Amino acid sequence: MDESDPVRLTDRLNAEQGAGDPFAAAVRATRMPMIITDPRQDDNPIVFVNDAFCRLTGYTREESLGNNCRFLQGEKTDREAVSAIRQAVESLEDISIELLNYTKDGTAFWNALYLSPVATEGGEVQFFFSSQLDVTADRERERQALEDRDALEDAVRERTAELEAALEQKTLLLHEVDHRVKNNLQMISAMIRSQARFSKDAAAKEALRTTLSRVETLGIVHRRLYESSDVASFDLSEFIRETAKELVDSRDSGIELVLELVPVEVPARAASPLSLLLNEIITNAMQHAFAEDAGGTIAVRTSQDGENCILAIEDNGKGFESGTVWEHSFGRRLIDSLVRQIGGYLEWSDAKPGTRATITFPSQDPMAR
Amino acid sequence: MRILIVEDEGLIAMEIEDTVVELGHDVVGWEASADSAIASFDAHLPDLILLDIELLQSSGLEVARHVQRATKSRFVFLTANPAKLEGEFFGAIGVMSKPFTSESLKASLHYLHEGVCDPPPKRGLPHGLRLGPDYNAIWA
Repeated sequence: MDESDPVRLTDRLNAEQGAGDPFAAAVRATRMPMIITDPRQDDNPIVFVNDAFCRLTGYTREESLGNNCRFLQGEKTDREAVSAIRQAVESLEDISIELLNYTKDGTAFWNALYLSPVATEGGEVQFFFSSQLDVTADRERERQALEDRDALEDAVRERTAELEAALEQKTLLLHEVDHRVKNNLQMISAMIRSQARFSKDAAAKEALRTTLSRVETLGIVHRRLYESSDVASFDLSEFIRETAKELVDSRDSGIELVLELVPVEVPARAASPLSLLLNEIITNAMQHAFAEDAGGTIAVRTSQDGENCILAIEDNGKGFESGTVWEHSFGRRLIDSLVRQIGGYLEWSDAKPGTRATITFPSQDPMAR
Repeated sequence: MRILIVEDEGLIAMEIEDTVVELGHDVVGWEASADSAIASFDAHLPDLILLDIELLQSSGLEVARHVQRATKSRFVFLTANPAKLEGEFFGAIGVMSKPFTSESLKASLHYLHEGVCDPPPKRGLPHGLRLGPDYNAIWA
């Protein structure tokens, strides 16, 4: 064996005689804990430990030397890690692994172990060199990070669940309110109609009937708005298709209805006033435009003109000069207010014969622009 | 037609009853809960049931299931909450959404009368009535 034989080297190191050997001095003094074991001896005992190892483990050199390094293992040391190390030793391979070890006073620490066989030039393994690194702090940071992440994920999950529950409750509430509004509108209609049925006075009956028609109009608007997928806008022409015929038929007046409609989307807030306007003007035409039982035609047209929509209702009756009943009625006031409400204007004109009401209004909600 | 009205709102039931009678049909009963509606149905076997879904502490769907099992009796849902059906009609002719106008109730009753007594109905489907899948196949 020459001077650099590791056995000699360790012997000398053990004996604290490596002062003249810069390599041995470096190994002894490095901050990295290191040991050397001898697999040729029974149970692969430790034959060298450096100062850093002693500082890390709390074991003195005397306590360590001659023992297999399993004395560092303890209760919570992972058995699989241990058997992986054993396997590496048996098959003379190197291994890098982290396992839980214990110091002399029983404190656990995470040990990043690196172990490799040291062979002679002839290939015979004489030693195992191993370095230890206390990675407890890294592990702790990692664990803390995982914990933080889990806590964050929990918090997000919790918040999401809360929001989902809140949304569900809101949706339920909306359905409940919608349901009640519809039922109440139905009840109001029923009340007015029943009252009309029991009324002996023709004028009272007529007044109730007019009111009923207005309430029913609002009911249809509400139903259509909430049936559609878009509660923000309203197809006026579809509404006219549903209601105008019913309105004309309801009075057995022999009046023919003509519809010339293009799709007209109006903002939801204009739906009720427009529908009431339609109801008022058609009802008025049926009541006043035609001579008793003379019949006639009422035409409803919708069109788009740039940013404006146009709703025109025309009769071929007696002409608008004769519509005197109309001037100071509630119906007329209602019409004027509703037109103002939707930011539009109303023009009455002579349809020769008959009367034409033309309502021009912005197709977009002025508030939304 | 002999008609059973199942509706928990008295005012609405009264209005339906008046309209049904006005059109010359008979009302065999008015019930406000599922149990009493089922009992009344078994007793009278009406030609048509006008069936609300939200009833007194019960659901019109219970009545629908009973009727569906029992006979060839026909029924129409009258509801402010058609979404409750979730596309399932339980063999119903169709559904009328509340609020409906008196005119559309009349038009629907005319249509249903033709459909029940001499199917398929000759007149067009009225605006307020939406047919269920079974009847959409044979009446529409």
